[in-house]
Amino acid sequence: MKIGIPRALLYYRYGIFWETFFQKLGHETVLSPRTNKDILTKGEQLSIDENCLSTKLFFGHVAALEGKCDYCFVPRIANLGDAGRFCSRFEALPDMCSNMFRDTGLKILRANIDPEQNIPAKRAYLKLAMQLGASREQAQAAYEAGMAAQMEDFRKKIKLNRALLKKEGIKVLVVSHPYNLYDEYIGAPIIKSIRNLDAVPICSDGVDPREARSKSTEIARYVPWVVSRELLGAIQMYRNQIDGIVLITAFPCGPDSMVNEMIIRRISHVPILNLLLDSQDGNAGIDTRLESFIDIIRFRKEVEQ
Amino acid sequence: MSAKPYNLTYPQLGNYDIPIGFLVRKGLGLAYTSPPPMTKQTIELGAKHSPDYVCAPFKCMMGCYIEAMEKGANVIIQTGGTCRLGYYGELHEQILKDLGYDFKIMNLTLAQYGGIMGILGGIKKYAPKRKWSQIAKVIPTVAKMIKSIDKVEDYMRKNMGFEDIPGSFEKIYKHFLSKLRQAETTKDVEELYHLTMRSFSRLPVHKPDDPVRVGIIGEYFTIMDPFSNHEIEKKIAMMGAEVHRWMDLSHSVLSCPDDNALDMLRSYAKYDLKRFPSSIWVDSQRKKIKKYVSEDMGASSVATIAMADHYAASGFDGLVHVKSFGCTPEMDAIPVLHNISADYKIPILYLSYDTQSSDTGIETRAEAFYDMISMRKEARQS
Repeated sequence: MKIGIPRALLYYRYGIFWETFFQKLGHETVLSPRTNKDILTKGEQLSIDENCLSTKLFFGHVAALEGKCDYCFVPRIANLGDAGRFCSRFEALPDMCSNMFRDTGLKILRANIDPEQNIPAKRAYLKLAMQLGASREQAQAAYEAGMAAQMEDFRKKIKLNRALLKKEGIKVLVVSHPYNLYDEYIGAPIIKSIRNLDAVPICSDGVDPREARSKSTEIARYVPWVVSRELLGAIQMYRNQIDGIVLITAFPCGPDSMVNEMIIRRISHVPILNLLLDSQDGNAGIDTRLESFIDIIRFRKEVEQ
Repeated sequence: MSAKPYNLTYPQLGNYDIPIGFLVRKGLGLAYTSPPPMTKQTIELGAKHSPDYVCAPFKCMMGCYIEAMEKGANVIIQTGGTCRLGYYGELHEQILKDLGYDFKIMNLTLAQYGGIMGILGGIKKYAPKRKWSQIAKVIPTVAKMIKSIDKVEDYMRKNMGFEDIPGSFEKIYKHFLSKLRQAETTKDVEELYHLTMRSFSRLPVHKPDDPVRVGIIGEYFTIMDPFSNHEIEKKIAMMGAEVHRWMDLSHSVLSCPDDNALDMLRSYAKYDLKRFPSSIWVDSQRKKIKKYVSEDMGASSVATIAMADHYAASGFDGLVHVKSFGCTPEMDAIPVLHNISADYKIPILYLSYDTQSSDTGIETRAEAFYDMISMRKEARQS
């Protein structure tokens, strides 16, 4: 069977797991292409205006899979138990998609992950595998292979950040949800611009998530969201090794609207640039702001020396 | 600060400051300051000290806290919830401290206390000498107050649009609220409630057999706070419509919607704070909207969809979806509402409020919507 995976939102957190898992079960996986103008336009048409850019892109990616797969995989991922909750959008995605694409031929493949209601991820994925016709042993093996691939990817990202931190020059921690950081239309151009300005961009997701979540309480104690906790943790773990922080937010992200305010109020010794992105053409405005931000850091460093 | 006695406050939410104040004063034995009624200034004050694109309830509550503290409150109550509301407390506290206010926060979020016992313990800290039995004793009165307010307002929404003497309903309602503030016992509340309903029933009205019926659905805070939603219910009712709204504190926190007693008992037994406030209704409502939704979509979205489906199936003439700008769970319900609208051929007016919403803008849209649905109704009847 051909299973489509939209290259958006939690793909950037769990994508490697999903691909390995489905392939181990003997299915073919089809990824939507990298974000392009068509995907953005389609996503904007499908969505109401108020949704965040990342969600609009997600719908564009789902639409790009129409006719290219037997099923499109859209899981409901509500929380990770004690590790925290996800934005409620991730609880709603499968039902949103099934309603939005009701009159098309697109079929949604679901999984329900909700440890708070006693459905831990492992149980949800084993159930899904068995629905797809696998035996319990096959399901177990696919799950473990997926987890191993995922862990390997985490280790790679952490190693990369360690190497980057040893580099000379201005180091900037780029803090954003992974689905913004790596998207062609959101984070990727910003990371490229930072590099072009002779600074070293360091991505916030290159941390051990568990360690990051526990460190996050040193900045703010009662943040309910998993990803926000990890972003705070990354700041806490790296704050003494970096020269500046760039926050990237897709307007009007619910968690970011509050957590970024907290970061700005509680982190005082590192310069912070807060970039709010909406669907827009051209990056000239953002480039100018980045340039002056890096200039200020450079100037500060010179004065300190 | 420890020298000063505690003086609690909770932000405006419709008229629910009456039962909440009662709980604090009679139950906990502490002073309570009602925030002054919200005005444009409250909202501007709140917005000025809040992040730009946080949802409007955050800004309204911020304004209320500031105004209540100026009046002498020194403990602010925050409740938490399953959406962004779950993080309001810590950020409110930080911003208000940065502004220089000296206060404590009773932040009843799960992240802080873990479970129901933790939360109760957190409340009790403010009234260490109070016995649990003293606190428990006022609960029936508080519940009765909430139910009375909800029933009185429900009757108003359905009938005030057809009154013969302009302002007759409003007059009795104002009297009800001022008397309710003075009520001391469950019996007082009960008598007041019956008196009010009797006065209502004696008012001359000219209601057609088949009036225009409008259902109001949407986000938890904005739907329950008339100031935040620019009195949308009253506006539409007064144009000549029967306005229905299921969402209120009675339905969302106090009573299960299950049809039989056994299911009801089961729902109460499973009362799950992690799903507050949807715990007691989300499962039974989900069963009713299976053809649209298979899972809990978060916060109040399931209630929005279930009630939209219910009103549409009952032949209502239109629906109004009310939410603050950027409210994620309610935005997520919209694709489903589109389908309900198409399937039942029922028009839906979508209103998204932020702190800049103008009263005239809302009025114009509500008027156009009412004209459209009443013309549709006439066309269908003839």
